[in-house]
Amino acid sequence: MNGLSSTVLSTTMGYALLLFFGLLWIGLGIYWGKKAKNLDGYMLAGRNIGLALASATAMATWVTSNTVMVAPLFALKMGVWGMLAYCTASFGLFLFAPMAKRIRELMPSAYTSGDFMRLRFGKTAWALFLCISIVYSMSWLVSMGMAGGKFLEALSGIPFLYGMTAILLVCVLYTLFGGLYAVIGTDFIQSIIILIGIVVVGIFVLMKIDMQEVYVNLSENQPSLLKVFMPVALLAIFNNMFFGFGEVFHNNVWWSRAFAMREGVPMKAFLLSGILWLPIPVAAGFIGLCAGPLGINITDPDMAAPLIAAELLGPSLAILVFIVLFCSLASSIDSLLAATSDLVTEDIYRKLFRVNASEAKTRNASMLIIIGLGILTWVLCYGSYSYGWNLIEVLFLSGPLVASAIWPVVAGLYYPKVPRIAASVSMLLGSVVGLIVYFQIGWFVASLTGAVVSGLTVLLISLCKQESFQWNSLDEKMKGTSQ
Amino acid sequence: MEVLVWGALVWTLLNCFILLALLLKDYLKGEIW
Repeated sequence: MNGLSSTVLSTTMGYALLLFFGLLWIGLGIYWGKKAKNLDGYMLAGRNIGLALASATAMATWVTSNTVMVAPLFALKMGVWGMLAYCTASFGLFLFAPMAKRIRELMPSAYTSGDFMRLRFGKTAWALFLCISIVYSMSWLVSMGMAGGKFLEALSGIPFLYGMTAILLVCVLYTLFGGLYAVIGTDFIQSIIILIGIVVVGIFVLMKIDMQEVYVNLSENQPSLLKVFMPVALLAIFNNMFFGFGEVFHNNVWWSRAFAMREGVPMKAFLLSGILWLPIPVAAGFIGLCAGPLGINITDPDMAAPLIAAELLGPSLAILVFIVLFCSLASSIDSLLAATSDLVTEDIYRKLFRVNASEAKTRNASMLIIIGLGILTWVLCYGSYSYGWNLIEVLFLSGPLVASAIWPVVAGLYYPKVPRIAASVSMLLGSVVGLIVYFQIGWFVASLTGAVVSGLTVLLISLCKQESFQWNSLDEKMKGTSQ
Repeated sequence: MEVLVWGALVWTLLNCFILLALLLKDYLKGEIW
């Protein structure tokens, strides 16, 4: 086996699967969308989500194309520790659990993480936070749109442009029709498919190869991949962990879920979602270790896992690989579309342009924003593909930005004496220094640097200046939204 | 390494059952959403 000149699945099969799952998600989106009778229903699924759906949606959102495709890439490039490094991303979910409980209690009528920054730290920090959050969300969306186009092309020969367009279109349509109800409902089904798919593919791969042989081959030909103290991998562990904290703590994807969950559910749901997510980078990532020993020439590292799995398992099980990847992508793209649209609707449309907009008008605006985000993502994906950016670079460029938001969010939620100015200065300094480190040294220390600089800044400013924040001022009742 | 991989696969499979059991529990209590 050397190289993969033709695709494992036929193009017709690729289109058939795309059509089947596309119609399924859109149909379910329309069906569940009927439950959304008001703005709370559309944007936050009625704020009454139970434990099962809440845990599944948090897990499925965190199982992105990056988990299924970048974890094997980490294994391919950094060995066993690279794979384990990816597991540390689950710590973000564990640590967010108590925060989600507090968020739900302090802000029972809020819509977005932007609401928190505005009410807690004022407009400067809010504006900076929105910039960071939107840049990050767009880069996440772009990385997944690109991954979608690439995996469809690699597995079934569907041209990148068609595949990327189809995946984005399906996700935009069912999010548009069903709002967060559709996102959370489909996330549950996608979670089950992803979990079963990963287990079945993993077992078949293990049956096809001898792990002892893989280990011996790696020891002889790529011994660095098995070393415990591989420096880049160790740095990657800490970097990835802080990137994960930043992603979860700041992003409205997670805050909107905390708002959407029934009282008493957020903490349990996020803890459980961390437990559910933790083994997945190993279960999916070990496939990356098999490339060298099996003599498979990976020309596109982003496609390592799907190509190895599909090549090893043949067309019948390659269908399963296709479905798992499609579900992984859809479960994250829909969540990002819904949460980012909420952020733009609530924090920009309703707070800056239409303060007295009715619920109906706000919902229409939200739908238009979902469509706009889909179009913007498509344009950026096309541009990124044309310029040949690497998937891992797109993902990690936003790392230092989100890592700089960790301490302002944590300090803002728990310490009333932290002054307003601490948030904006720390996010600005953390982002700038982190980006300089990203370009001068590398991605594997950028998020770590952003988090450390931002944390020290919050600490120093809080030592020099203190304010007294009243927690009840976070409970902002919805204003001017009568229909 | 093999133990690590098998462990991760069994854990993932268990998670699937946990989610389905929780859904059933929520359904019986009328608390899905």
